[in-house]
Amino acid sequence: MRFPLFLFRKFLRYLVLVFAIITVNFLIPRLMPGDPMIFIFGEEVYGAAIRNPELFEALTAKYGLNLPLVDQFWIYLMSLFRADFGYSFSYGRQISEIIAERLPLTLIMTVPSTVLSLVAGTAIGLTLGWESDRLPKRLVSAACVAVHSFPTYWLAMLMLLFFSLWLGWAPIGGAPPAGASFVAIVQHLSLPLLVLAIFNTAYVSIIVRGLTIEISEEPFVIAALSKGLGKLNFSLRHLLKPSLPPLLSLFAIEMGFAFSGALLVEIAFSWPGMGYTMWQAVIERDYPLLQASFTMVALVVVSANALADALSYALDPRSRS
Amino acid sequence: MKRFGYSPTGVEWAGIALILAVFAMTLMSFLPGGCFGMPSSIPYLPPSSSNFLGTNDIGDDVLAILLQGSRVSLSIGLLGATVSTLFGTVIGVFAGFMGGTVDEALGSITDFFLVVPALPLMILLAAYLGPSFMNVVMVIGLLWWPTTARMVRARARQIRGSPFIEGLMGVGARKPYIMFRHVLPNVWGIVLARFVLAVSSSILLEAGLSFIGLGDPQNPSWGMMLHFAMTRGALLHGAWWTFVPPGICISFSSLGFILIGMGMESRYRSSTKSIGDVS
Repeated sequence: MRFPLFLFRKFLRYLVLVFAIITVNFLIPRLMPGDPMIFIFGEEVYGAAIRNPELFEALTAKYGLNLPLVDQFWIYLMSLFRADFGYSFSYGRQISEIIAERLPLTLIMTVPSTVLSLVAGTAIGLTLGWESDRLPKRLVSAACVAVHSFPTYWLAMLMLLFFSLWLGWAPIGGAPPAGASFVAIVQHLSLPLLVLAIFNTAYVSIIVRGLTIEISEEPFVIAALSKGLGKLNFSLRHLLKPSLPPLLSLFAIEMGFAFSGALLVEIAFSWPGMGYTMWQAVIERDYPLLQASFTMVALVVVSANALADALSYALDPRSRS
Repeated sequence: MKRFGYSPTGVEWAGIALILAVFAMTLMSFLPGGCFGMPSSIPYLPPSSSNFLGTNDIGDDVLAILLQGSRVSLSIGLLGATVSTLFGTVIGVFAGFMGGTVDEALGSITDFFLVVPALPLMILLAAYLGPSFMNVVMVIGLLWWPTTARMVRARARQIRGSPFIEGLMGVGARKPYIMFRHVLPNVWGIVLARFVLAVSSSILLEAGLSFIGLGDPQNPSWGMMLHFAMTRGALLHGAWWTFVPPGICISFSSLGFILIGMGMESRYRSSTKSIGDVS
């Protein structure tokens, strides 16, 4: 009976969180200095509307801007439920269309690199954490910390310089054209994926190494070792297993960070995902698009957190009591 | 519990970055051609004896911009870290000491900022506020406190339960007094470590925001140099000297602060652990 109640409470928390994100998103343009209509319509539409009273009236009525805040909020919520984020003047299209096109392009980069780095980082972290005082291992750990403090987009620029400009192995950026061959898609994806995988692997390695060191001091580890367990068997059963739940929850917190890194890498590679969209929205001062992009990115990160919670619940019997 | 320990390399890297920033103007006057480097209207000159790091897209000396940028990057790093640590400490001490509803309310606000991706929210806020030096500082400071708050809260909670606080309460000491004079000094170790780590994050965050184009265009930072290299075609031009040096500066100054912070944190952790074992 505990199972559904526990998860229910967890997910209720996430629902509140999503509501809070939406509320903040609603309030920001209305509380910022300046006419909120600039932020809600976007600069260009606002300029056109000022000159055309009829359009101005229609837009004001659509967003309910002459109504009290509470009613405005209700209208805002309803339009979100209809997946209506408004209109992007810089693209001349509905924002929901743009996002439906571009969110998958971000996920196709972040999900594989995250999975890859979880596996690789866990293996590396376990190795590094076990007998961590040896010199080669300490050097590798230091390298992981170093890589983690490199700006991802700078790493991306270096890769572009080296592999695309100097060696000519990969395209200079952008997404593969529609109907491109499999090879072309792999070529376009390889460098961004590589950058993200390196960066996230370094991070996961650092975390797993710390957890391993902590766990290897526990008495049950000494007991297991004195029984004469093999190294691999020992690592998997006694080091990996207890470190999984904290690893998952830590990773959930850092998921936002990983996603942020991906957003910046996209810009460097001109990869038309959410990060690139946000960048263009910033340059064009396209506030509606920027806000919608933020909402979607936040929703993805919150869902990833919820997923990590559910997973750690399924994996860790301790969390159920 | 030997994790990274005291790390002299961290101190060195952070020190070099700070010296660069403090003496940037003096160093710049030693450049061939004076304060702003050798005046040269030729864009994308590779490194030479007159322009040690070449020139950028408008023919400015890259080394001169790099030195100027060190001031912007590091002062935003330090100021952003100051604001965020201040917030985190106040919220953490308050939540940990007061407990109850206050703790719960502050805890859920902290959770909100922990889960919501910070950089996209920073981009959103900075885009509304407009690019300026103080806005970048405020955006970083206002959004980068949750981890600090959480750690300080845990420590404050621990201290709250110790007998000497109970004694103070029994004597009738007022709560603000206890918080300021007795709880705060005891969380100082973790606050300092968090501050140094926050400097490192702020340098990286500032670089990220500037890379997106939300930095102050009047005071180009290292991140801004990367932004210009990206948007004005230095990358496609293969002019590596315009973006490799600022990247190295960002990486190693933030790495320096990270290493110092990690060392402080692990030392602090082992010291509190032994105290905890005794009591």
